[in-house]
Amino acid sequence: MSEATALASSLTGCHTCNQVVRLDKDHHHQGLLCPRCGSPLHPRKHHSILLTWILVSLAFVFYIPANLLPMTRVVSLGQVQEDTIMSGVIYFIQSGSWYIALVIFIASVFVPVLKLLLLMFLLISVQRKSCWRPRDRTRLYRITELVGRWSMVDIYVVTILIALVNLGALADIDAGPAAVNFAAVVVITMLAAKSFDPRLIWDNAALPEDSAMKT
Amino acid sequence: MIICHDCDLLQTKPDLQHQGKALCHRCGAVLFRSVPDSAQRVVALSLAGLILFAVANIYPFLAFDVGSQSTQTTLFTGVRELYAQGLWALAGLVFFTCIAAPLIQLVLMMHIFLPVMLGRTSYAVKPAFRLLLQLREWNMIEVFMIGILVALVKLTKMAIIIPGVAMWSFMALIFILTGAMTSIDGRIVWDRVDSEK
Amino acid sequence: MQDNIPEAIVTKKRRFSIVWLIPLIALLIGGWLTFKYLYDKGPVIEIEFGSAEGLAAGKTKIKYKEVEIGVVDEISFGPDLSSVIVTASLDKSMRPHLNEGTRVWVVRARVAAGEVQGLGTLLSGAYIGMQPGDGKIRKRSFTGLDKPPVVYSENEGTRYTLSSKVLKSFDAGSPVYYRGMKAGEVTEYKLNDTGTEFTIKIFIRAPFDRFVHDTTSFWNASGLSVKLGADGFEMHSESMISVLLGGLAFDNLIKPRGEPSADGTHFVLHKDKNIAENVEYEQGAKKYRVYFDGSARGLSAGSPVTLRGITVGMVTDVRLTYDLRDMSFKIPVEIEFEPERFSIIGHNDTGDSPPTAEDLVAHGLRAQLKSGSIITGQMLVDFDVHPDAAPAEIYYEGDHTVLPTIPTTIEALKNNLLAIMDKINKLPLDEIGVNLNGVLGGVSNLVNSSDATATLANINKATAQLNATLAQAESVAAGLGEDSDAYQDLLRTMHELSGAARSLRQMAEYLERHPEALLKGKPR
Repeated sequence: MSEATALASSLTGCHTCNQVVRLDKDHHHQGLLCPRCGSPLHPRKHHSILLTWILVSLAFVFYIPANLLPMTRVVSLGQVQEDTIMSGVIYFIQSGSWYIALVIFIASVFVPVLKLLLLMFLLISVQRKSCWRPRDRTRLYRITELVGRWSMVDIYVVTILIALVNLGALADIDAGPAAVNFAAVVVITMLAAKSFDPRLIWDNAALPEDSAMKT
Repeated sequence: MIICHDCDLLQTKPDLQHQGKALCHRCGAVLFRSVPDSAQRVVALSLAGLILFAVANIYPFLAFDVGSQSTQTTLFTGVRELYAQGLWALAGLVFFTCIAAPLIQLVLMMHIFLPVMLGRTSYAVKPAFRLLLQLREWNMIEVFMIGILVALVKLTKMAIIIPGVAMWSFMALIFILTGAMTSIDGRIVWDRVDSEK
Repeated sequence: MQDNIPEAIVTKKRRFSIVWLIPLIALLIGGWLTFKYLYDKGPVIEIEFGSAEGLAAGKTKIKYKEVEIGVVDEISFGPDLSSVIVTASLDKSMRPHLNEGTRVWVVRARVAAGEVQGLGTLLSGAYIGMQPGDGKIRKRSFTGLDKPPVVYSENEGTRYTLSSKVLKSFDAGSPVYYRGMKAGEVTEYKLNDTGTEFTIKIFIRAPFDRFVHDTTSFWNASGLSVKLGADGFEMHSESMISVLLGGLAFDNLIKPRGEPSADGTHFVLHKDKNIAENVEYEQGAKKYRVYFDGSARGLSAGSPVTLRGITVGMVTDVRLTYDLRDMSFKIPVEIEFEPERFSIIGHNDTGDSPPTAEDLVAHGLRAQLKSGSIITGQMLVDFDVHPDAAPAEIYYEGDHTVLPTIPTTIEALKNNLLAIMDKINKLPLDEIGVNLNGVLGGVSNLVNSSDATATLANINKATAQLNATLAQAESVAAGLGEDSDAYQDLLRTMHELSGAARSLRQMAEYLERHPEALLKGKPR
């Protein structure tokens, strides 16, 4: 059957130029470069699971202050109002702008958690050498890759507010400590998604599924 | 032969001539796109993108009126304010994802595909192409656009907010840039690299 | 057969894709925007200022009649670092109005040259004021004025000149009142060549210029005139406005005759209304001399001369003389008696001539030194008819007509003393003490409450900012002379401030209740 991983055939593909490259069997598969475009080749991403675990736990560490600390400080007429992400969502629900509340909630609260949980699920499934629905798990991985960037919405909202509302003594908006934490969550989860190697899903799944198909 | 990025499946490479994309037989990942006149399209769209980028950065983005006070913002103002508040990391992130990344992408596309279109050799095409692919996910202008909409809803009852020409250009830039990126047919670049050997 | 079929010609011409329309459209839009930007871009002007205090590139607006017409682009130094060059771009509608007659100045919160102005700019920041001119020669670089110029209204009116020895409590732009109404303003003033007198140019708007006759009196209506004299404590001001702003006033103190004065007529500016009135009466005043026995303490030039309590003139001079003929000190008191202050009725019916001073003295008219005010000890010369008085006659000392007097009654002093004692006794000292205790208790409760502490913390913060502002104001004010009129522009400022407040009030009120609204928007 031709449906074998390239690695099993001592081959690997270049991610930049799609070149098929033959691998030296005894080599450690480290520090390889594509003969055509010179990009680094990763037959499998190095320490993918460990690195992803580290980044996921780091993201959780930043996620807590990002949600508990104030995102913005509004100083108006000497009064200081501090807002966290959730207090903003609650305000929007109360004021009837439920769709904005939904956007902020999904982008800022739901998406980062979803992404981290999905990555954890993928990591555990790979570590347990699960062969459960590899195609769907690959789809889940693509979702985590795609969705992460949208968490930046709140960072941009704060940036725009700071740029616009600068009325001196009357009203002023400062970015709160949560903003930096939140940005860190977004960047770290994006890096985590990149460090995860989806081919690991198929390494365990390929053979049993093939045999299942044969029978 | 071609190998899937996502599932490492070795499969035969289809010879696509018309518009279309090749998907992995096993996991459905996009292996490559076939775009007729890819070079022309990419160059044309990135040229349009560069013009729109210039407009979006030069002209006021939003005008914010409260009573007799008026603030005009360009794309860069927010970055500068963040930096002024001492949040240089945040300022750098916003600058990179909304200004630097799209600009570098546009410039790289021009740099790679203009010589291809004109039938000339281009300089440093390999690292340029690699950088172009890596920048793809760090360009977040469409997320920024959603951020603008949310900010507008927040402020619209407080003050009169007038979207400037830069905002419309920025919106158009999102579509142009996406169009340009999906018009890239990597084969024409690598075929040329192969033929030059 | 097949050889006959011609082969199609293949050209290797490059096919142009339709996608090129997209950059073309982008280029057209970009080009159009740039053209529109350049077309809409008004003239760029350069203004030279002594200092750029309160100005910020990209923020400071240029305004004409409180309408924004431009913004400051850049602030740089002049060639020799002695001045600041402000580069500003204006609305294109201003292009035809930039010429030699255009004037530019900075409006900022400041206390300078006797004016408090632009308090509104504390909130909105300083701005540059501009008055388009109607000159012929076009100009793009201007020299900023030190202070706002007086805007000559194009309204109808007449110009006059006044002369004054001192310049007190007014400035160019100060109002001129007619019976408490603003009738015009001071447009210009200058010291004459000999340095002895100021020439003040004023503009009186129609219809008030109809009331200006050659006999009209002008006086300084600035501030509050507080007089402590024999008439007691007297406070006078033209209006609350003039208290704040200073200014001049005019009125016809004697009945005007003839046509209104012509443009450019010259008048004398009197120090205050009293003097103006007295000067008018002086013209018909009759001078007399009276002698009082004993002390003349409390009597001085300016003390009133009354007839049954009504002022009819004033003391012009009190002197001490020693008469060698009878070896005694004498105090001749020169008085002016103003017959215009009272009218005589009945003489037309009888056909008799008005009574002379001799007639009145024969009927018992006597002068008497009286206490005018128990508080100040000021004395006055009171006339009354005392039919029982010892006969006396008018006699003459050179040019002076001497009127007879009667001695000061000791009873008057006694009564005064009794009145004082009575008033002191009536003071409810106990009650005041009790009330004061209550008030102090209340204050102490208030001060120690937690609300007050929190509020005070806020106030302290605000005060710190205010102090900084005041310190700045003080440093400017340090250069002021004692006669400066710091109230000069307060009214204008108040208008500005209330304008600024109005425009901000709506937002401010809302923000005060919902500061979070800035972030989250106003609920529907």
